[in-house]
Amino acid sequence: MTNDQILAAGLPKIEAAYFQKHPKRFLNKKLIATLLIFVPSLSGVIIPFFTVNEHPWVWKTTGCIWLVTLIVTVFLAYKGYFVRGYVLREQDITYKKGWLFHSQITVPFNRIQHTEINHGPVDRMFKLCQLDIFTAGGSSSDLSISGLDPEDAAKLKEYISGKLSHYA
Amino acid sequence: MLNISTPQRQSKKIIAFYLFKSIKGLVFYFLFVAIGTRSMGEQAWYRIALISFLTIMSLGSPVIRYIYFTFHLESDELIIQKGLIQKERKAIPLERIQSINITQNVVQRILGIVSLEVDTAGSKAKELEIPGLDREFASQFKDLLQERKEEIIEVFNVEETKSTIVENDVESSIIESTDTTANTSKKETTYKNPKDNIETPILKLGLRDLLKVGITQNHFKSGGLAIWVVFGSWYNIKEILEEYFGDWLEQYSFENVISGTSIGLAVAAIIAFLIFSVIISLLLAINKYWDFSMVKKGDDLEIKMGLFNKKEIKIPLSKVQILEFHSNPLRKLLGFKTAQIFQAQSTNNKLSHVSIPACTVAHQRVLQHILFKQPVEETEIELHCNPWSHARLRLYVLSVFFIPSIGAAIYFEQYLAIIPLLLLMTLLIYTAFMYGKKSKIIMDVDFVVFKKGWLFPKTIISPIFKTQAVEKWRSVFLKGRREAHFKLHTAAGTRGLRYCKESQLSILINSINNLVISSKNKWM
Repeated sequence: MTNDQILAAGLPKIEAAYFQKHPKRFLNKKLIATLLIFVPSLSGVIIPFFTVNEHPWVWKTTGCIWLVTLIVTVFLAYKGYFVRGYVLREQDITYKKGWLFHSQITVPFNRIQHTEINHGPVDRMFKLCQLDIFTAGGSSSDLSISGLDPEDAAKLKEYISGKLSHYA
Repeated sequence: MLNISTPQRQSKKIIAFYLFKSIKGLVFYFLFVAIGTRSMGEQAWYRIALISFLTIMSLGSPVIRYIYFTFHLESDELIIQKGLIQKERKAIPLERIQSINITQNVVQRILGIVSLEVDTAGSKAKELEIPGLDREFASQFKDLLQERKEEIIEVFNVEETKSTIVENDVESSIIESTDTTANTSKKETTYKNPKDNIETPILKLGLRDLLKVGITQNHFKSGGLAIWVVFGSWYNIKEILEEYFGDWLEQYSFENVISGTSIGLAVAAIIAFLIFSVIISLLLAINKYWDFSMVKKGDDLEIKMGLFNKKEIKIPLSKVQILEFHSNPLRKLLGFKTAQIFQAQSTNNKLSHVSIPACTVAHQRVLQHILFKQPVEETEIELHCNPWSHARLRLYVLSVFFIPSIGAAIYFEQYLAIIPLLLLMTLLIYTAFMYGKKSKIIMDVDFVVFKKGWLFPKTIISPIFKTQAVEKWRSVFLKGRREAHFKLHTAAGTRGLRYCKESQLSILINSINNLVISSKNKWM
């Protein structure tokens, strides 16, 4: 067993690490989930189309709004997939996400309180799940890594809890 | 020594306190009745019956509440039971207690009782409050809780070291036994002298200091408060007043007042407002910080203050997460700052930060030394933000309001009005620019220090090993400019600085993160 002194300056940088991508079906899930939200709201266009005959501009404007928001959300979901990723290192975990608003947050294992695996119905359909990592810094510094393969998530959780028992 | 192993009731005076609370609630019902019965005629009897029922209930409930509120210690847990119909039992393990505070409001003061608040950070359980204890009993109780807590933690540590020794040195059983005996002897000694309870006074504020503090408060805030109180209560009383003094009030209707106004009157009103605000801030400061004293006792910081509502706050030094110093132009002139101590937050805990007014430079240094041991040494990394980005953001935000109003001025051909608008806008943008120019992050081996602000400068000191997570945040617009915001998450909230150079920020984040990883200190 070695117990070399760790010097902070000698430790590697986050940027040098390789960011792990999510499985491709996460993108599919995202796109389909967005469509699922948008299909019911299409009624806001269809109903005026049949009922408000004397003012055609009503369904035209709602239709335009619907189309534009749909395109924007799909675009953001698509773009977001490619900048999303996590890095698991010996002592910490880093997660980055978001295209429009990009954030990259790093939590050392010795500050993690507990971890959780969650999956909703849509997640299960795509064989995905979400790993939540809680710190003492309140909700602002909690990590939730959504769209993981259940096996990977279980492994990650195992690895992190193994590290946690070190510090407890 | 107190014996509270059996369920105890509070002081009997608490009945009067509960009674006062119920009466306060009842006053509104009576007002309701007084107004309601005049207009209702026949059906008023039902109301009166309802009200009298409520009255009897609320007069009887204090006694019941007194009888069914008990607290006691049971196998290292503080247990509170209350309620007749809806029973409630709360238990707090003593080692989870974060801080024990004694507070007293005006009514409690008259009755001579205090309330004891037990706060547990991190756990989801809401803090406990025992609202009616005799003062002496409360302070003894507080000491007892503190002592028991320390004993338990001590025993924990001894057991832990024992087990690690057993794990590591299985072969050398002789060393092990000597070690454990050494530990147990240590345990005994700690039982005998429960920590050094030496009191070192740090800060005491006299009346002159309080006047200084009051004068340098944020007057706009207290002025706003005054206006809010006047208007808020005005709408409440108005209806009752109109009923009785309707004719007399008629001549002071809104239109009459407005039409009578001239510029002179407006100026007088502004001056009156300013004087009023200053007086209110003075009174607020004196009420809040009267007889302020800060004492270091053992490993805790004890703060006492308050004129009408007395407060005694106890902060364990290890729970302090962030120290901030706030200033403003007036305070700079008088040479002091306000310190704010941030503890680890539990869910909706109102005592999460304690402010200490009137800290001179010497006090600041002492406070920093006590809280964090080391001073901030020479800087390793200094990170500035881009002032132009701050100015640009301000320009975007302001243009939302200013462009339409300038447009309106042109439309109504009031070209003179454009000049003050533009002036105000440039001034506000300039302050944003200066804010960016004066803000920076300094990092040494032990601390991250934020220096933020121009007119209202703020220094935030956060020990690196208390950091929970570090974050880099940017919108897609900042990507091209190679800038990003920095966020430092601690158990006492998030602090940050916006618009830093991304490359430098990465260096900062890496070094903070690596220092957190290699630090062996417990953050709490």
